Amino acid sequence: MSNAIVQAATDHAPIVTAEKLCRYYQSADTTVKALDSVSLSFPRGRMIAIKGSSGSGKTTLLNLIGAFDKPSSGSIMVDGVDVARMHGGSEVKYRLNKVGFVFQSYYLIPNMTALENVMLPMELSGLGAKAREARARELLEKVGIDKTREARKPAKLSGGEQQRVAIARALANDPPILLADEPTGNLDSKTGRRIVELLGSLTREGKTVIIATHSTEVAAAADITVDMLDGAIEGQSQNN
Amino acid sequence: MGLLKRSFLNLIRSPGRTGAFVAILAVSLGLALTMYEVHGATAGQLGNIGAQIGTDITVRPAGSFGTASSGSTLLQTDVNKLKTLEHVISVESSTTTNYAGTVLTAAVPTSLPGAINAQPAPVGTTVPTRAFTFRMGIQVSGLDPADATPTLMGGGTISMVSGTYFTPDQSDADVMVVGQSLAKANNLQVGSKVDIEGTQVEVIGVYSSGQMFGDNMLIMPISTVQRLYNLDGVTTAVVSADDVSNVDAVATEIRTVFDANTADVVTATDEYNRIGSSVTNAASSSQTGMIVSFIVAAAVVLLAVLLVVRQRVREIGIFKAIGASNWRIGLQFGIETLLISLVAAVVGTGITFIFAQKVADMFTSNNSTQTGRFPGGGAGFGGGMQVISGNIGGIHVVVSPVVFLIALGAGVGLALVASIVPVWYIARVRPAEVLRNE
Repeated sequence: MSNAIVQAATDHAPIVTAEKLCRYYQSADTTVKALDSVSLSFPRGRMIAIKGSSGSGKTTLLNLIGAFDKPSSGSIMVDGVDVARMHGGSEVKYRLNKVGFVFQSYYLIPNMTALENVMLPMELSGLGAKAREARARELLEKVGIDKTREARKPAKLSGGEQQRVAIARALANDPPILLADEPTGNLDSKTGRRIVELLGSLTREGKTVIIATHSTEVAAAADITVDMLDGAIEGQSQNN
Repeated sequence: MGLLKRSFLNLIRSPGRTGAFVAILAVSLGLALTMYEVHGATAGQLGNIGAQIGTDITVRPAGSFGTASSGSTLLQTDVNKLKTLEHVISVESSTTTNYAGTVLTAAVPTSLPGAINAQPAPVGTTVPTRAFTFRMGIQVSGLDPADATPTLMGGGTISMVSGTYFTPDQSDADVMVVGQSLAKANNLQVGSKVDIEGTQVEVIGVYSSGQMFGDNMLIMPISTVQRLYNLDGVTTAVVSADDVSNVDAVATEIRTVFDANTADVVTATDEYNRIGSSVTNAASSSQTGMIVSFIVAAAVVLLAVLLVVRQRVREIGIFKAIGASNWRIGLQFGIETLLISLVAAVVGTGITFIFAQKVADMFTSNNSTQTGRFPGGGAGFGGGMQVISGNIGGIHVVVSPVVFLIALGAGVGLALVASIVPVWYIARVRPAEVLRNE
């Protein structure tokens, strides 16, 4: 179902819409079509799984939604913002306030404690020291990091704990969209399930969670699953 | 966590790397500052040498050389003409001869325990020490009473130990001041009278020059020496021009008064060049060293920063991904660079304080000579201005606290320049490329 418009059957207004979105890379003499004329629409307040094998284009799509990358052509609107046309300061503000990103490898700052990692995005957005510390503690408690682990640096935390801290960091500035690229990829299945449950619980607060995964189990936990293959959307399904 | 604290923690996260950067930069800065100080000192030294001898022209009877006198004098009437020449600001005359009496005994030992070298040993060589017999007569110097602080051989000045120096009122009086060693050897004191060429000359002062030969002299008003020794004229006239640039012109004019058969006219230019060459070389070398050291310091900082940003490209990607601006990330790297530079500046200042004088000594030792203007020319030891003794070219480096401010300024400057690297690099980092799944 390539080039299809995926409109999830939902009563929620779309938060992400894309029209003929393309991302091509030049590699030697060949052009790699990481994303090839993708059109889609994601509803607000749902957990959406973008499922596909390696090289299917799911991470590229996530990067375009997160403004980590620029499309070669086409348009992409996120919460009313034309992401493809953003530059400089507006791009920084977008990353700071509109989206939170969770990575497979967590990517916490190694010489900062869990608490400091969560406080960092709030420091960048200019929140006062006391306010950001209070909110960071609140977020860590919410994701299941107790006080004894707040002062630990990432190396002293388990993989699951690091991913929880990463989720708390992604939520720091209260963005409407949470992007997660293979968030359970480095975790055992039990821990992975808990992380997915945690991400799913965020939709109850109105967050839109978009997960790129190759895991059937993770996809099954999402409200909507979008299947990708070779840079195009293969199909979509709504889970019960 | 504030930006400053985060920058500090980043630096101590890799203490070995940070320490290495600080050490290399500190040595580079220290060397640059050392060269700066040495250069300043050499420039000052050149100025001093120029000021000291740069405008002097020595006129001596033809044939006089070193310790040997031609036996003749310059006629006083001719010497007086020198004062009227254009660009001449002063003419200092002196008459020197040897004490020929038997009453006084020389203070200089007859056997010196070691070599006296007119020239210093070449770099890297040593001069064998040997004892030899050396007989030094008592020198009688006639000086202008108007000059209350005459310069003696070796460039030394006299300081009165007892009594007083003669005044212009005593320009033809039978008075003299005696070197301390000579006074001691002959039990002379203020009030003593000595038979000089049949005249009782009173000792009105005892002086110290700090020099062996300088303290073996009798100094009298020039007219007194001329009268006692029946000399018509002077043995040395030192003419001072008003500016270095006029020295050659004045020398030419002097040669119209004294032809080549009558007097040797020696300008200070050659001497200045000879003496100043080592100092000039030191100044030139130190300037080159300073520039090279600053370039090395800048290269060290630039390479260090480039290395650090390349190693921390993922961290840059994370910062960008969570909403940090290029400016903000660049500021953090800039602060880290600044902290490294400031610590290096402090250490570099310490290096400068410790090594500046040693480096200056390395530049000038064994290569420089000292000259003094010796009013007592002619028959005296090394008469005229050609006597070499000591090491006037030895540069005394005074490292002032200002060097610390210069070091800080250099550190800040280097950090600012080096900050171009992270700013340029960070702007090119795309989170999507550096945060790919492992």
